[in-house]
Amino acid sequence: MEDFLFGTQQLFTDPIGILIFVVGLIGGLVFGAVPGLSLLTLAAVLLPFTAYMSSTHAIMLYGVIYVSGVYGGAVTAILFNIPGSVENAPTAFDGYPMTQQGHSGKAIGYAVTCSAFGGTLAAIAMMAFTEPVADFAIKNFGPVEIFALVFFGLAVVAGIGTNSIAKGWLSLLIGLLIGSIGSDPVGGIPRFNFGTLYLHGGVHFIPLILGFFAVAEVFVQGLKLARGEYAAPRVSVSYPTFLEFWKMKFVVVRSAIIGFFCGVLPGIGATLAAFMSYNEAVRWSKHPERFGKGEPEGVVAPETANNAATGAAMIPLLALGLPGGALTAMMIGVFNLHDMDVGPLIMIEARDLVWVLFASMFWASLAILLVGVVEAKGIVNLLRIPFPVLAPAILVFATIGAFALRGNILDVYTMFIAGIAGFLMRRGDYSIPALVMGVILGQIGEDTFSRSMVLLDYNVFAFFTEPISGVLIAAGIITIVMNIIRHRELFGKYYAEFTDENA
Amino acid sequence: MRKSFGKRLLAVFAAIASGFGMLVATSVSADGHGNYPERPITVICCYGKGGGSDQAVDAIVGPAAKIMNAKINKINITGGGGLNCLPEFLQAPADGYTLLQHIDTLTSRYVEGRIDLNAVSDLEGLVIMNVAPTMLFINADDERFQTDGVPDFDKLVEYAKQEEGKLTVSNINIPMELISMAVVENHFGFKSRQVLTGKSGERFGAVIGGQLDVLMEQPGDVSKYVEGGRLKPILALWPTRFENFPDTKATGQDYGLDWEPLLRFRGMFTKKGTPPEIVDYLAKVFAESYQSEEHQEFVKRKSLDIVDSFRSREDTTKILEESLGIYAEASRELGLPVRKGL
Repeated sequence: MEDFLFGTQQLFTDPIGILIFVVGLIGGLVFGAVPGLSLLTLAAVLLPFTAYMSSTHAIMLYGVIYVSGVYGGAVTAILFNIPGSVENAPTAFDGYPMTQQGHSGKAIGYAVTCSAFGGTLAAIAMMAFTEPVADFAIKNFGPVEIFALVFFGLAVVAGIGTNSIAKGWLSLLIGLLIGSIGSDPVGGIPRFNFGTLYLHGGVHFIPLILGFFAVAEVFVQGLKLARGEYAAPRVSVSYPTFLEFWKMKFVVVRSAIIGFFCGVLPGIGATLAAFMSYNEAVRWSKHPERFGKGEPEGVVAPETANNAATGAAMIPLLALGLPGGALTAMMIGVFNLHDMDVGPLIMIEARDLVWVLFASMFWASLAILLVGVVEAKGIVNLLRIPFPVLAPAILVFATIGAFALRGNILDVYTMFIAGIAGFLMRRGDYSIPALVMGVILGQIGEDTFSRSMVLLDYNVFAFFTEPISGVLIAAGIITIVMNIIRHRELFGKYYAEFTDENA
Repeated sequence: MRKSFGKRLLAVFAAIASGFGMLVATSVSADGHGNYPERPITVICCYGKGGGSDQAVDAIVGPAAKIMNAKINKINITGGGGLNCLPEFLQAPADGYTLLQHIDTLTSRYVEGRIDLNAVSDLEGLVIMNVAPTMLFINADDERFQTDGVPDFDKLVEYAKQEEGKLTVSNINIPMELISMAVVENHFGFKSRQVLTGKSGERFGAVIGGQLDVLMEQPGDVSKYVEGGRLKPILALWPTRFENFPDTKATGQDYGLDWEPLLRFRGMFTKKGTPPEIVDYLAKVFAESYQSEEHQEFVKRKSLDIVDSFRSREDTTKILEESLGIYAEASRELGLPVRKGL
C-alpha cells in the first residue's frame, strides 16, 4: 500500500507526468478506435521519442497507452463492426448487433464499465502478486496446457453466430484452413501458398477481420438500402442500469480471471483472453443461441478480459522479462533505451519506477470510466451520419487500415475478397465469429500442438496424463458431445434424409 | 446542426491535409547522400519482438537514423524459422528504402535447399553488427545438473545417456543451433529432444519455468536471466572458456572437441540492384552507427564483445561466402541435405 501511495504521489505531483498520463490516455483511446492504426501504431511511433523522456515517464506512458488503447478498439467494433484491434474482434460479435437493435449506448456502457473493472482488478492483482503468479504460470503452463486450452476454446466456438451447428463447424474448419495457409509454424515448410510469395507468409489477420467485419457489413447494409429495407441504427446514449450490471457479475468475475490468466502466459496476451472469455460466456450461458445476435454478455466478457490481460501481461514482463504480446515487447525496447533490463532484478534496481507504472495503470483503468463515458456519448452521434455517406467512409478507413499495415496492396485485395466472402457467408447463415476464431486459435493451437507432440513422444493420448491438459481436453470433448446431443434432432433429420435418399 | 458538423469535419480534413503537406515538404528537404533518403526507410526484422535480432536492429537503427536524419521504421515479420519475412522483402523495389535484417539462416537455409535466395549473389550485405558464440544454459534451480551449486555438464551428459532421449532442449528451428546441438550430441554420445519455437519469450520461459531441461542460446540474449539468477550457463560451444564465464566448461578446452564453432551473425542487407551510391552510403552509416557510443554501450551490456561483433561491408560478403562452405561441410558430415554444386 505504501508503495502504491508513493507511485500515485509521484504521478500526480509531477506536471509533466500528468501531461504524459493524459496524452497517453487520450492517444490510446483515439488510436485504439481507428481501424488499422491500433495502439501498436501509436506505441511504435512514440518509441524513438521515449529516449528523450525520463525512464519513469517513458514506461508510464506505455502502461497508460496499453490500458486505454485496448478499450478504444471496442468503440468502433460496437458502432461500425470494425474492431480497432484483434483483441476487440469478439466484442463486435454482439456489440454491433446491439447497435443495430438500437442499444449502442448500452453496449458502449458495458464496454466502458467492464474495461475499467477488468483493468482495475488486474492492476490490483498485478501489484499484489507479480512474482508468485508469474512463477506459477511459467511453471505450470507449457505448450501441452496451452494447446489443451485452445482445443477447449475451439470446441465451444462452433455454436456461435449461426442457427446451424453444421454450418458453425464448417465455418470453424474454413477458419482453421485459412490459418494454415503459408508455412508451418515450427519448420517453415510451405503449404497452400500456390507458389506465390504473398501467401508464403500466411494471410495476415488484420485485412481478414477488416474484410469479414467492416466490408461485409457495408455490403449487407448496401443491399438492404438498394431493396429499400435499410433501417438506420437508432442512436442511444442510455447506459445500462445498476441492476443490469449486477446480472453480469458472474460473467465479469469469470472473464476477469480468464483475462488475467491469459495475460500472464508469455506470448499469448490480450487476444487469447478476449476470445477465450467469449467462448466461456457462451458455454456458461443459459441462452447460448443468443450469442452473435446482440447478447450483452458477448460484450461484457471480451472487454473485461482483454483489459484484465493488460495488467496481467506486466507480471511476466517485469518479473521475468518475458513479453506477453507485441506492446509489452516494445516496452522491453523502452527499458533498453534507458539502459535497463526487465527481469527479476527490476524490482530491486528500479522499484520506484515500477510502482509509478503500477499506479498509472490503475488510475488509467479508472479514468477510462470518466473519459470513456464522455467519448462514448459524443461518438455514438456518428451513427446520425446517413449510410450513403458513412459507407464509403468506412470503406476508405478500412482500405487505409489494410494498406497501412505493411504497405502491401495485396492486403487490400485480401480484405475485399474477405468482405465478399463474409457477405455471402452471412446470407447463408454461416458463422463469421467461428471462422475468425478458427484462424487465430488455429494458429496458436498448431504451434503448441507441434511442440506438445515432441514432449509427449508423439502420443496424442498423453494429453490425458497431464492433469491440467487432461481436464481441459476432456472438457472440450464433453462440450462437443453436448453440442451434438443438443442438436441431435438436426442430425437425426439429416440422417433420415440421407438414408431415405440412399434407400 | 448537420451543416455545422459538416463544416467542422471539413476543417479537420483541411488541418490534416495541411499537416500532411508540411510533412512531405520537410521530408523532401532531408539531408543525405544525393537526395537519399527522401522518405522513411523500412527495416524488416525476421524474428520476434524483444528477441536478440529485434534488440540488435533497435540498437543499430537508432544511431543510424540520427546520422541520416531520417526516420527508420521497423516491422517484425516472424515465423517459418525466419523465412516468412522474405516475400515481403523480395516484393519491395531495390531502392534502399526497404532493408532486411537477417542472420546466418540466410546461408544455412540456402545450403540445405530450403530457399533459393543466395545471400552472396542476390543481396548486398551492408554490415554485420552481431557475431556471437552459442552456449547451453540450465535452470538455476535445477540441482540435477549441478555440483555444489555449480553447473556440471558431465552430470547432464550422464542423465542424457541414462534417460535416453528424455533430455529436452528449448531451441529454435535454425540450422546453426540444430547443427551445433547435433555436433555436441555426436561428440558426447547422447540424444535429446529439440522443442522448437521462434518466440524468444516462450523459448526462455520453458527453461526458466522448469518445463524443459536445457536452453541453447547466445549469452548476450539471456544475460539478464543469468544476472537475475534464473539461468546458469553449463557449456560454451567454443575452443576455450570465456573470460566472462570462467567456470563454464568449453567444448574444446575441456572436452577436446576439435571443431570450428558455428557463429550467430546478425546483419543488415539490401537487394542486389540497389544503386551503388546508396549501398555505399548505407554501409558507411551503419559502420558509423556501430561505433557510436550508444551502440557500444549496447554491445557491452549484451556481452556481444566476447568475439569482435563488427564486420564491414566487405567482410560481410566474406563471412557470407565462408559460411556457405562451412554449412555445406557440416551438413554433409551429419548426413543432412546439401544443395547441388556446393
